[in-house]
Amino acid sequence: MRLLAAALAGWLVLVALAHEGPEHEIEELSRRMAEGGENADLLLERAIEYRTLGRWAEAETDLRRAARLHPDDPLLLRELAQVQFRRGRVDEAMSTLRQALRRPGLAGPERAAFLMIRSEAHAARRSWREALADCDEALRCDPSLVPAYLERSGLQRRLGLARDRITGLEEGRRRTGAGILAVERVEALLDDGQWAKALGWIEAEIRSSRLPGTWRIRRARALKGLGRRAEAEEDLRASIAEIDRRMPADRPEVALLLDRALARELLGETESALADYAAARESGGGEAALEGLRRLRPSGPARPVGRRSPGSTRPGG
Amino acid sequence: MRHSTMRWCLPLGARGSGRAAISLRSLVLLGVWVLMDLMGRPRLRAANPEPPMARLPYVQASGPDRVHVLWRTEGPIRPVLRWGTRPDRLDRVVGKDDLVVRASLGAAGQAVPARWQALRTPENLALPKLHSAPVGTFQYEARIDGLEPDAVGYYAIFDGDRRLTPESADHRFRAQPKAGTVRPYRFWVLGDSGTGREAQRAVHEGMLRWVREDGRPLDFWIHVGDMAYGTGRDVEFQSRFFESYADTLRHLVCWPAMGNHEGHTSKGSTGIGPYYDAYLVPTRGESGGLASGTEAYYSFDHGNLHFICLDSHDLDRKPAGAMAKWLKADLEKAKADWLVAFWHHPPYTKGSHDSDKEADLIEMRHHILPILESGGVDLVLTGHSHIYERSMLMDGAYSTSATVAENFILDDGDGDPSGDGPYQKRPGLRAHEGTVQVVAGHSGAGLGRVGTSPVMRRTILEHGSLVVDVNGDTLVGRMINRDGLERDRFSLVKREGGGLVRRLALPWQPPEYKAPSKEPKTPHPPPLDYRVLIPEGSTWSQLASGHPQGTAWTRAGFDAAGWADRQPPFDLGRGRLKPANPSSTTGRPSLYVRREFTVPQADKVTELGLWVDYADGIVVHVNGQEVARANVGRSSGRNAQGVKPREDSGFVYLPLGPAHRHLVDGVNVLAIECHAHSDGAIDFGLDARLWMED
Repeated sequence: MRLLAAALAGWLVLVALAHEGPEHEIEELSRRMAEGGENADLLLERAIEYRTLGRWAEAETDLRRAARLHPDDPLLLRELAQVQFRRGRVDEAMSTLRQALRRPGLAGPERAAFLMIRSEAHAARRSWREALADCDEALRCDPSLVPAYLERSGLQRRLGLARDRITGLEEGRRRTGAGILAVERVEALLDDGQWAKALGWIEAEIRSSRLPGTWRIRRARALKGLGRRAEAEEDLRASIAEIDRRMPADRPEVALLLDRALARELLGETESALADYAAARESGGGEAALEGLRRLRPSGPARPVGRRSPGSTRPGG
Repeated sequence: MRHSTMRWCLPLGARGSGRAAISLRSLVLLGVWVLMDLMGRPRLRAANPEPPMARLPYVQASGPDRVHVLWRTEGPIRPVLRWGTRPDRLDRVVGKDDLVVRASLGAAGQAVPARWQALRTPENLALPKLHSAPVGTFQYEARIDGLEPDAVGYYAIFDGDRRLTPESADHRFRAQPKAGTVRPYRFWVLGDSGTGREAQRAVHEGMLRWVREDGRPLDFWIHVGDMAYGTGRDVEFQSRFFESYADTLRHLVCWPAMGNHEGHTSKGSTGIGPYYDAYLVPTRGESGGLASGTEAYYSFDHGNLHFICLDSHDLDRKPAGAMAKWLKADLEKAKADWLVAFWHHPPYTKGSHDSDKEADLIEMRHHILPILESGGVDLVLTGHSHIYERSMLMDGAYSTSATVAENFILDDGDGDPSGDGPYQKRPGLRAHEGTVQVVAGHSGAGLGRVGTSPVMRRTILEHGSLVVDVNGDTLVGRMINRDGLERDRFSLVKREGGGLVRRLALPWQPPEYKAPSKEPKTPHPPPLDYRVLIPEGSTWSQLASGHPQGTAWTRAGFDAAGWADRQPPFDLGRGRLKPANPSSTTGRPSLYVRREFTVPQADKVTELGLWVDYADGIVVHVNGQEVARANVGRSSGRNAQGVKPREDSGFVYLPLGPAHRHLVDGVNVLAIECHAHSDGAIDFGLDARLWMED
C-alpha cells in the first residue's frame, strides 16, 4: 500500500495544483495512459474520479485492471470491493475481500476495515451470524472502531443477543468515549425491557438537551414499559410537536421522520406512522424505515413482535 | 544536516519566460524582496526548520482548561516543555505523564539510513508510530492542562537544558473561553491551499496584513481540507502546510477537516495516516460538544459558538451511518448562540467542481444538510472547488438534480451591512431560518470555474481566504484576497423580531456565466522553498551523436566512456544546433545528457523538479525510471514518436511527478533525452537545473 500511495503521490502532483473537476481529470489521466501506457496508479486515480461521478461500472473496470497489475495491494482491493459492493455485485465483492484478507501482513485497523466491508456484504445477504463474526473480529483488530460497535449492536439486536449487545456497547463506550454508543446503549436497554435502568440515563439526557424530542420518545418507551401510559403519551405529543417545528412538510429529514413515525406508532396512530416510515424510506431511511413498515403493514412480510424478540424490537413497551 | 548545494526561496512572482528574462526579472524581484525585508515588512518563508527541529512547535486541541503543543525532531531529544504566564518567566514544566512520544523508525523491510539504525531499540520500537514520516522523526505532544478559561501562556521547547525555540512572545497559547462566553471572536477560514507555491503564501500574507491593519488579532483558524497536495504525504504536510504557516501555527490552533488529497494517504475509517499524525482534535468532548470517539469528525465550543467538523471524503454520509447519527445527537445538545459547520466537499458549487454532478457533494447536500438545517446551522464552510462562492440566506435546497434557487432563498440581498443590509435571524439556534454557504477553496491551488450556482450571491475567481468575526448577535464574514483587500462582506444578525421566514419564488439571479474561450495553459509554478541539486553551470555527460543502447545510460553505474563532459546549454549556440546525429529511424536530431546527484535521505523529498528550457520534446528519467515527458508522444530513445514543436519558449518548471519514489539515499542519476520534432528544426536544445522541494 505504501508503494501505491507513494506512486500516486507523484503522478498527482502534476494535476493537483490545477484541479479542474473529475471530467477533466479523467480526460487528463486517459491521455497519460494513452501516451505512456497503463499503470495501477493512474487506473486507481481514474477509478476514483469515475466513482465521484457515479460511473461505477467504469470505476470497477479500472480497479480490476489495476488490481491485476498489483494483485496484493490492499488499498486497490479495498476500493475494488467497495465499488463492487456498491454496484450490488456482492459475490464479486466477497471474492475480492477473501483475496485481500488472505494477505499475511494485513492486520490491525487495516484488516478491520476489510472485515467491516465483508460484514456489510454478509448483512446484505442476510447472513447475520457471519456478519456478526466479522464485526467481532474487526473489533479485535481495532477496538476503537466506533462504526463497528454500532454495526455489531444492530446485528445483535436482530439475533436477539440483548445482553451481549449491552455489554458490547458498554465496552465500546469505555474504550472510545463515543457519545453515540451511549445513545445506542440506552436503545439496547429499552429493547431489552430494562425500563427503569434506561430511564435514569434518559432523564439526564433530557435535562442537558436543547432538542430533547428524540430522548422524550425514548422516555415514552420506558414509561410505557413501566405502565405510565399518560406520561408516555405526553412525551410523545411533545416530541411530535418539536419535530413538526423543526421539519417543514416540504423539507423531510430522515432521522426526524423516523422519530416521528415511531412516536406515532407508539401512540397507535398507525396510518400517519406508516406515512412517515414510507417517506423516510423514500429519503434513504434504510433498514429502520423498512422495519417500521413491516411492523405496521398487516399484510407485510414481518409481523409486529414482542419487545425481546429478535429482529424488530424497537417499540418496546 | 544540510546537504544542499544551495537553498533558494523564490521571491514573489519569480517565474521565467526566457533565460535572459528570468535572470533580469529575478534580480529585480530579489532586489525588491530584500528591500522590503530591510524595511521591516514581515515576510513569510516556507523554510525548513533548523535541526534538530524537524517540525516547529504548534498548538492544537485547545479547550477551556487545556492546550497541546506538538513538535518534531530529527532523532530523539530529552523533551522538555516549559511554560508560564510571561515569556520571561517559564516556571512550569509539562510532566512526563502529559507528554506523548511517537516515532518513525522504518517499517519491516524498509531501508533505514545508517545514522538511524541505532535508534531501532526495543524501547523506541514500542513507541506509537508515525505513519510515513521520514525515518528518524520523533513527534512530541505535550499537554498543558489545569488552565483557566481564556488564560494566556508562553512556552519554549528544550532538549534537556538546551533551549531549542528562540526567546519570543510568539510562542504562546490561549485557552479557549468558557462555553457561552459572549465577546468578540475572530477566526480565519481557508481551503485547498497546500501547494507550497506563491499563491498560498500571498493569501496567508494578505490575510495577516488585513488583520494587522484592522487591529484585531485572530483567535483560531479553520482549514477545510486539501492542505497537503498532491496526496497528503507526511513530507507534503511538512513543506506545504507546516512550513508555510509556521508563524501562525505556533500560537493559534488550526481546526482541520480532511480533504480528498489528504484522503489518498489518510483514512477516516482507520484514523491512520499523516493527517491523523499531524493533528490532535477532541474525540471525547474535551472542547465541548458530544464525544465523537474518532478524529475523523468532531465538535467544539468557542465561547458562544459551536463548531462541527465532518469527514465528507471517505465515511458513510447516509443518515443511518455513524457520522450522521453522531451529528444529530451533537446538535440535540448544542446550546451556543451560533452554529458553524465545516467540511471539505461543498453542497453547492460551480467552481472547479460541480455539485450537481459529483457524488460526494450531492450526498453531503442530500443527507447531511437536512440534519444541520433542522438543527439550526448558521454558516457552512467548505472548499474542494477552487473558487470563492458565497450564498444568499438559504434553506432546504437538497435536490439531487440541478440546484435551483426558487423557493430556497429566504433573503436575496447581498448581506452586506453597507449594502442591502445583513441577513436577519431570530436569536438562538432555530431550524430552517437560513444558512449562508461559503466555498473557500481559493487559498492556493489553481482556480477554476464551470458555471454559476444559482444560490450564490458572490462568485469570485481570485485567490484569498475568509475572515469571520462574531460579536454577540452579529456575525460578519469577509473575503480577503491575496493582496489583503476585502472583496466580499456579508453579515448575519440575530435579533428578536428578525428571521421572518419567507421563501422567495423569484429570487435575485446571478448573471449567467460565459466560459472564456480556450485559455492558454499556465506554466506550473515552482515551489517556494527548494534546494538546488544540480545547479546552473554543472558539468553533465552528453551524447550528441547517435543514440545510446538500451536504458543502462539512465541508471547508476553506467560507463559513460565516449560521452563528452559539457555544461549546458546543450545547443551549441541555442537555436541553430545542427548535430551530426540524425536519427536513423526518424531523421531528426536527438541528444542525451545524464548527471549524478546526491540526496542524503530520500524519504524527506517532497518533490523533484526541473527548471528547464528545451526544444522540442524531452523525456526525463530518474534512476532508470521515466518520470516526466513533454512533447514526446510515445516511446523513447531512437524510437521516440510524436515529437511536437514546443509552442512557448524559455525556462519553465517541470515537476518530476513520481521521481521521489525512485530516489535512494546517496547517489542518484538524472537522465534527459531531448528530441527535435523534425530534421529541419531550428530551435533545438536543452538547459536544465534540478531542484528538490523538501
